[in-house]
Amino acid sequence: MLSFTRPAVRARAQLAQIRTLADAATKKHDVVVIGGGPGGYVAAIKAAQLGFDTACIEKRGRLGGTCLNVGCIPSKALLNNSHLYHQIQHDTKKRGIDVSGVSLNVEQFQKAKATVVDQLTGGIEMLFKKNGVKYYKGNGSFVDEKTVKVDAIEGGENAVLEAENIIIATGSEVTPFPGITIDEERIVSSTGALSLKEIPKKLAIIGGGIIGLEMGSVYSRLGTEVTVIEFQDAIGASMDGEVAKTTQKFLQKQGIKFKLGTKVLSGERKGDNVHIEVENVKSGKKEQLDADVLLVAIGRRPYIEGLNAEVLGLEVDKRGRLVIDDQFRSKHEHIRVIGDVTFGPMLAHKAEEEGIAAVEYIKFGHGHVNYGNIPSVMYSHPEVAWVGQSEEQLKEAGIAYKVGKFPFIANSRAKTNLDTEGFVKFLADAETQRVLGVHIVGPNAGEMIAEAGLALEYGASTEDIARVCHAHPTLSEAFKEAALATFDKPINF
Amino acid sequence: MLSSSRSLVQMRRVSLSRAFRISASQLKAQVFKMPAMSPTMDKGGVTEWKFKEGESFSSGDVLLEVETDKAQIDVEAQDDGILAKILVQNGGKDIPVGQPIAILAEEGDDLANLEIPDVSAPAAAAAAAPKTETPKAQTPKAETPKPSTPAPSGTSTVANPKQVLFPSVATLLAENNISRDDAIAKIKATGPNGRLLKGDVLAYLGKIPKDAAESVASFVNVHSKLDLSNIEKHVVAQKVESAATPVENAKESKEDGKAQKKPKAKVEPIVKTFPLEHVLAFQKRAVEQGSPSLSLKEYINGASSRAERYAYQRHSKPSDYYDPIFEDLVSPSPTVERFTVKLDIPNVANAKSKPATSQLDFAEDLFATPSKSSPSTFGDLTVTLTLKNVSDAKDKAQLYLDQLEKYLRV
Repeated sequence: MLSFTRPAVRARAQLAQIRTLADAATKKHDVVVIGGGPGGYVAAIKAAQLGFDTACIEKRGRLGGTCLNVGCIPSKALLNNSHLYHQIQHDTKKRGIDVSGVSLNVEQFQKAKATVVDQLTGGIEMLFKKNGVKYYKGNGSFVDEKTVKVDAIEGGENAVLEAENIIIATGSEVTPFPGITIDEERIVSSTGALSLKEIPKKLAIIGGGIIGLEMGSVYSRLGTEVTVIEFQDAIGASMDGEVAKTTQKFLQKQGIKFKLGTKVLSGERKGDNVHIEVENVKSGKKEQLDADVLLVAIGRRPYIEGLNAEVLGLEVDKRGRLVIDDQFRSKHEHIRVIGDVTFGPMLAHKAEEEGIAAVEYIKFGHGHVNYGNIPSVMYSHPEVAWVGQSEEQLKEAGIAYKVGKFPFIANSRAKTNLDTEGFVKFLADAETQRVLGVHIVGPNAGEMIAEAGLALEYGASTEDIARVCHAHPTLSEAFKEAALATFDKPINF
Repeated sequence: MLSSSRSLVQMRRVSLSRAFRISASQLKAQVFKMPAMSPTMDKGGVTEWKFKEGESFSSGDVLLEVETDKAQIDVEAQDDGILAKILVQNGGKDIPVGQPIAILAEEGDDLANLEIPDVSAPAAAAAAAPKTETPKAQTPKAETPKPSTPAPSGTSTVANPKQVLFPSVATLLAENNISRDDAIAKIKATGPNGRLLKGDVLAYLGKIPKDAAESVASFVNVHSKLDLSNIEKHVVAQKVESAATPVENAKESKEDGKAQKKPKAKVEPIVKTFPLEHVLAFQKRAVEQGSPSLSLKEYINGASSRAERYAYQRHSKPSDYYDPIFEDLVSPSPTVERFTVKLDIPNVANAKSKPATSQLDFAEDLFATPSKSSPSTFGDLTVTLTLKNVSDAKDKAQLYLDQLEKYLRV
């Protein structure tokens, strides 16, 4: 029956918590950067280099943001070391190296990762000092459009900053899966997955994107039975379709199981177990999965907690991204927004570019980021890297294109390394042969993609790459041959 | 190169570079500056030199002991050399990082003829080194620089005469006996900064369609920019108290209007019908128990407004990552209207509080024959919801409908 109780009067959160500002010192700066991640710290250093009196506010306690602390850097440490371990176990015999008594020391494995993180985050602090960036440890929140208050964390000092220019670079946080509670112990986000205390027997991963596949690779190499559940019919998010399929094949061979076109209905921790109910999108068939650990890796969402942006009425879009114009400006011209908290791919290097460009806009009124030339890399083995357009995108845009491919099995260095999985794939305009996209799955793909970035930036044709001398024997020869294959015949295949 | 190690208090390795070494002439001595032994050190003291002037040292020897605010640290030499001159003697305190403290020479240098660099001027400058290294801009904020004029919208421009030709371009020109100057003057460039591309030359030679290079260039240019079109803005949460003022309301509706400008298909109203059998049965029970009952209309209206109130409440998700402040920021103000409700209450069921026995019998008959068509014999409740252009209107409408259904089930 109806309950006739009055709805409780919900006092709306008093967001602008204006405390007595008297006790904090007021400081003036030309540029104040809120957030010390890859976007924010790079912007701060650049601003200082361009002569601005610059401050950077970070509340994590360590600079470097998600990337250095709980993202790219620690995951790469785990990926590299788990790859070594796996190789020593499974890949030494045929190379004529007899190894015995190989075992994993989880504590040291984690410590190696932590050491790298410490060194790199500390390094940024040193760079701040070197470049004269004032570092405020604490939470930065808007008081008004020219004033930012710093509520200090341990080791910081309260302050009120008056700024001519403000750059918001507060980044992003893990997107939660509706109905699944992350406890970072059995049900974890990428953050928890980086520091599991023991190697799980079974790991289920929601999301077949880069984060899910990288963490899946780490634990699969350490002996975990990994199942990746992906709603789409393909893994790898925006990967070129052919590359995604090939990559999936390689990962399957390594023992990772895939459930594509599969919807997660629920995930619940029961003691030391996680029960996951999934449903095939097409057939509607339901299935129950069990795992020791469930990793939720369905993406990230903009993060502006504690920023008090509402006091300025900063606009956000439906996905919570702060709205900007083509010069990174919010509705207040002197407040610019860069990185994950606004539009574009959520990548550290994209944020860095924007940080530089935003500061250059402040100084010179001109900045440059080429959004058509932002590489993506997945550090599985083999690595996957791409830049520019995918075949699917070109088809959709109705561009006539040519494909040039070269497999690493035909590359001498890859053969000597006994590491021949994958290929280099060029997509070039059919008429002009201008390079439109490069997709690599194979050893060292992440390093090789830089050459593709240069080609795109200068508008090179595939012939231009094929006419550049590449050292022999190197993996990069595969890159050259694939370019050659686009407009002519490859020599070694 | 010098590096420190074996701190007395803590172990730490800091590698220091003596960058000027590379270009310094052989006979010129090198200035040895107060090293930064930690990222936070900006001053230090010289505790003790381990070598006398004129003595030679080899790589790995401890040159001196430096005192920081945290520790006393040995500074090792990584190269062989001679301590030519000590500028800051033992016990020198508060020496800024970067200030010269000694002159080092190469092994075999003639100390008598050594060219001693003038350290008096640099010393002063170096004293303030960490700060002056990044000179302040003359007018950092005098005026916001005017954005430079945007690049011409056309994709082809006059070729940049300063460019180094792409190998493909140079080859094509040679094959077709076109001089570099001719190419720069005659061929339109579609590459970045007036760069001539292979496609430009092919188009010029008529080997590919004339507009091929330009059309691919404009495709590439479109993708080089962040797509900021069609941003679907959230109505940013307004404070409750301010939203109540007419000014704010006007502003809000203006914002709504702005959002509506985008050509969008008109949202179809949501129509849903509810059978009223449970309500009627409930009324019957109420009458039987002798409690005062509401009329059907009163009941439905009451249920509807309660369901509406329920829908407008915030429904938090049970998640660690549910953050009220974040949600507050990304969701529209609770006072913004999400939908309007039109209730179509069937006449026949419009029973007054004193119910006619016949009707209750009628309702009883209905239960006896639970045929599909039965509710329609006296009409269902039809609810028509017209959604407003607010991001969560649909969710809120669904919450309303679910709740209303619950109420009507009694």
